[in-house]
Amino acid sequence: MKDMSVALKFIPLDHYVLLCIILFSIGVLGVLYRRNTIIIIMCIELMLNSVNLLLTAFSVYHSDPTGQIFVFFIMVVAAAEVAVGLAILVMMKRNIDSVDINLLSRLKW
Amino acid sequence: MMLILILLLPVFSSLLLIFMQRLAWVKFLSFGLSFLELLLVSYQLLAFQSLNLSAFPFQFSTHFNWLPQYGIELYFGLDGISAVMILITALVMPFIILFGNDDVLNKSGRFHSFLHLTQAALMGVFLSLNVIVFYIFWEITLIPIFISMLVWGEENKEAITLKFFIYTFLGSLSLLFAFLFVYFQTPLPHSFNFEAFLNADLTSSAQSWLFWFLFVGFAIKIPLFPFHSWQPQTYTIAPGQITMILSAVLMKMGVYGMLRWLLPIVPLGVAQWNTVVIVLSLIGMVYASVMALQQKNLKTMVAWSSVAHGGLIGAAIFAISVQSVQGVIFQSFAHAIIISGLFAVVIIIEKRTGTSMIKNLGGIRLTAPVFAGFFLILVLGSIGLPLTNGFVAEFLMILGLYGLNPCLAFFGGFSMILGAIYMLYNYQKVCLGNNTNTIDFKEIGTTEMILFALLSFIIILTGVLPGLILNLSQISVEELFSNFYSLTN
Amino acid sequence: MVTFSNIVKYAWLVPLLPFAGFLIIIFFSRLLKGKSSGIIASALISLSFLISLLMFFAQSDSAVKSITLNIFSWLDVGALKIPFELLIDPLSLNMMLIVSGVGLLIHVFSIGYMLHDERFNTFFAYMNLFSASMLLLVMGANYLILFMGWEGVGLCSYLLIGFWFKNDLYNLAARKAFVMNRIGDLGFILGIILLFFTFRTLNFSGVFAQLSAFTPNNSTIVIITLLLLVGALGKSAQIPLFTWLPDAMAGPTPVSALIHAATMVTAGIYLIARSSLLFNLAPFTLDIILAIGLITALFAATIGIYQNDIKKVLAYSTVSQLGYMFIALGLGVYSSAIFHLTTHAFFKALLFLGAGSIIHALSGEQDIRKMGGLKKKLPITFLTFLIATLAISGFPPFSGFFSKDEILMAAFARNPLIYVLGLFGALMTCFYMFRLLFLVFYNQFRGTPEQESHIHESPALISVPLIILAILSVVGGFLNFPEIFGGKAAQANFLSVSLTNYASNAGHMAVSTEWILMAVSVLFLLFIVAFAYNRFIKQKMLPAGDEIPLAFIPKLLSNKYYVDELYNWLIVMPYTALSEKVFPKMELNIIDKTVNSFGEYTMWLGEKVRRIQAGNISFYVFAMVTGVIFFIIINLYF
Repeated sequence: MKDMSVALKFIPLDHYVLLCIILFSIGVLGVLYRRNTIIIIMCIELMLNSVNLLLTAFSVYHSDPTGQIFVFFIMVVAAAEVAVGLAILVMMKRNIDSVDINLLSRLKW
Repeated sequence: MMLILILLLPVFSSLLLIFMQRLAWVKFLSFGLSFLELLLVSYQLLAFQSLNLSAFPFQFSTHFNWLPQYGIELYFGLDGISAVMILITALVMPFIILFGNDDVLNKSGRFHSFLHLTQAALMGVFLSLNVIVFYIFWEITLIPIFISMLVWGEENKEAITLKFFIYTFLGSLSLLFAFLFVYFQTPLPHSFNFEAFLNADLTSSAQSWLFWFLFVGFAIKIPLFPFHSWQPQTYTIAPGQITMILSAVLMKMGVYGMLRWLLPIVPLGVAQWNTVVIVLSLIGMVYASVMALQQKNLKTMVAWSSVAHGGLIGAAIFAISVQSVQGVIFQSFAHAIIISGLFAVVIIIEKRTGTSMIKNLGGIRLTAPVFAGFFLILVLGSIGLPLTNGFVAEFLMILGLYGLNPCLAFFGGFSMILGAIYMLYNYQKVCLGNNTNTIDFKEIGTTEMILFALLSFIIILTGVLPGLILNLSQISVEELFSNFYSLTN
Repeated sequence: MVTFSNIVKYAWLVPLLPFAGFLIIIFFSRLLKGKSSGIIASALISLSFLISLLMFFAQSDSAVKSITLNIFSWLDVGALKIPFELLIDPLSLNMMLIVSGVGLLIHVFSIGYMLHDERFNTFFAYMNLFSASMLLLVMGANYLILFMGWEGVGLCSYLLIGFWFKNDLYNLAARKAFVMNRIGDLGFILGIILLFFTFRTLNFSGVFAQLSAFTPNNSTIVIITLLLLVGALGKSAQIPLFTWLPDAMAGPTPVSALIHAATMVTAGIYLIARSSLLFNLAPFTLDIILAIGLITALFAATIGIYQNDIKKVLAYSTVSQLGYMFIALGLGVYSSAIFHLTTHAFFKALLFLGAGSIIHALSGEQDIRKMGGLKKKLPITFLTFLIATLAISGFPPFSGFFSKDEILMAAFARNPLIYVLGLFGALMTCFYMFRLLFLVFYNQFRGTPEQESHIHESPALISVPLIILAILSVVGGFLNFPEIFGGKAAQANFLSVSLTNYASNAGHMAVSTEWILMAVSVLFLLFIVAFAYNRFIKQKMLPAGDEIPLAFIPKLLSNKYYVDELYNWLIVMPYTALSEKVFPKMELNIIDKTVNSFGEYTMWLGEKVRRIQAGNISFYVFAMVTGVIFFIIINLYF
């Protein structure tokens, strides 16, 4: 473990942060611009994972394991979310034969 | 403990009556219960009068803990001002129930249940000395009224009821805001009790804006100009008995609120703004009097007359003298009796002729001289003829205004003239003349005759012996002003 | 032994008896058939009269002339303590005797006059209520009790003017009377309040006792007196509040006699006389009273000349005579005002009752152009009417001569110009009264033959009161028989306990001057009568019919100077327009609209905001991201 953290510290923290910002932005833009629900869910995952990476990186640099514990929480939540989200997607595909997000606007008032 | 009983009996009546549907004797059961309440209140007031009143302002005070950590407790007590108010509430109720002449409503347990619930809430308003409890009761009064208007109201009831509700609710929020502000200025530990509010540390600038929040809250209820626009419409569409209770008692909540929670708590604000408020009220009085003259609907006309009286009451409250406030309290009583009688006249006419449009009426005195005679007595009380209680009230209020400023008294005195103009004009249109539309208008029955006779008797009795009412509140009002003057100087 | 202090203890019975009569008749209205309610009413009022009379005689033997009777505590609020108290002193006794005495005669007259009215009982109930209120008015020992009676008589006046309520014109007249009186009452009540703030009491003697601290024309006193004067102007129908009185003739004739001639309208004079000490301290107000009285006396007399309705002529003559009383008040000779009030009560009640008798005989005809030649058919009425006409015109030795002469003498002592104007008014009075007399009783009957066949002298119930009043009109002058004729001025001395005449008029003029002035006035009067005789009997001139256009001045006068129209145009019309058009529009478009606009804006806002919540997820996310970025920037830079 110690080696691992040493290895991780080879790369400066700035680079992690920059990477995470890029990944996160890609995720945000994906959610914003794509209409395919599967891709949107993937983009959400991308955002979550970029945050995971950032948490891990900070946790290592601070020598504080709390951040990594949070990562596990996020993974659990993400898994649950994907399970529910994909179920909704399947239902959507079955009912309206499409996964276009704009068609879901029927839920509006 | 009697106070608790006074508070709980109407709640009990309300619960009992809600299960009675379409029974012929609902009206009489309801009357019996309200009469019992009247007996309780009279007993309590007799006990109140025999006490040595100068000892402490609140008699029979009762405390129960509720949320002690926030200074909220069930704290009830009686002083002269609330004594008159609960007397009004208890006295008017049996009349309102017995004057009911709508076959559906008379048999409806729900309707009578709502009437009693309103009474319970009103008792709570007049007896609570903890501002949160007061506020809760204040809001509860709205609920049964709101529902009754929606269920049994006349045309266009939804819009008007909603307006009434939102309007008065807005006033309540303004009150709540002011109360919460004052709460945080009370000495530690913070408390919502009346005494704590009296001792709240309020700077004169805080009082100056707090005054308006409290004033608007209470003024909407009375209502004072320019917050009156809900009132004539509401009075017109509400079922007759609800209108009676609205005008006779709910209006007095505003008056009571000002005397209990406005004058003592923000005396500096009152001293700063009273002239403005008086001018506003008097404008409202003249305005409403003029409006009343040419109304097409008799019910709306009476409603406007109530706004006009409210205007003089509002002015007199802020004339801050013992005479004017005694006049206000006395007028609260007198007006409650007179206006419920006048609305009773309206619902009787409505029932008999199927209309309350003035142009379709006239000549009622030809066929129903007794009815017209009682109507005339009520009209005379309303325009303040000596030997009716209206005169004593008006005289005291104008006297108090004069002490503040003769000019204001001059305009206040206009109510004497304007009241005579619109009341007699419309009385003539309804009762006099030789109209054939009302040729088959029957003389009122014995029950109604007795009720009107009782009302007239009360009007004249308290006009000849005003001490009956004035003595109840005299000491409390004097104390109110001794506090007031010590705080403003 | 009936001593004054003993009998005064029962003074409360005087107003209470008629009030009880009112209650009895109202409550047992259905049981009372025929004349019974009239008899009850008359019996009770005669009891009041008897008690007043007893008190009067007991008082003349007594050393104590005035007693206050405290009955119960009425209003007690802080510093304001007003008991219900009655004052028995010469002035109130004088008024009580007039009110109950003349009232009794008119009650008796009404039994005959109103017998065929279907609401006979109600009429007597109101009459009794009126008597009770009027007695309360004159007996009250403080201003507020006086005010109570004051408003009470106003109410009865309203009820009785509109007695025949089927006719909306009568109702309008009743309402007009009430509202105009209320305008005066506002002044009165403000005066009462100022009195309270100045003296801390409303009791007459309590107020007068403190007057020594004030100098003449002290501004507070002047304002108080002016406010009281406003009240008096309304009640006593003086300019500018006089237009209700002629209209008030819509009521039954006995009502006009009792309320609008003999008693109620003199309440204003009573009020000022009662407050004589107060008014003596305000010479400024006295001058105003004098001016108003003078203008009213002349103004009303000129209108009277051109009226064709028998009751309207009498109404304007009442206004004019009240103007004379105001002149007396303004001159500060209060006792003369009360003297004229007393004699006027006799002869004017007689005139009205006589007019009632005529109207009764002619089955409701009031237009003098359709009368004439009634002298033979109604001998008693004619004789009594003649006496009253002589009295009101001021021929010696009828009562009007003495009372009017007193006023004119006082006027001469102040300023001969006032005397000349007063005399001119008296001459006009003489002219229109003789015009009335000649047109009604002389020449040929001008009505329909059908009416002529019905003409009959009235029954005894009607004629006996006429005769008694006629006797009083003749001898009334001797009540205050002036010293110049070797009299003792008995009434003035009697009243001196209650009244204090204004000091500056104390100066006596030479006896010879007085004689000359009297002779002059009598000569002029004879000349006027001759003129009227020539015009209306010799030349048989008739007032023009309604359809013939009149010249400017007669038109102006027969339309009462268009004062009614002026008031209508200045006050009633704008007020109605305000009530009918302006304020409802304002209510709808400003006040209610402001309130409703709150609701409307909320709805509008909801409509707009609703579109954002359209279910478009990308928009939600976009909004979220934008928000986050916004907050990050805020956090970084601020």
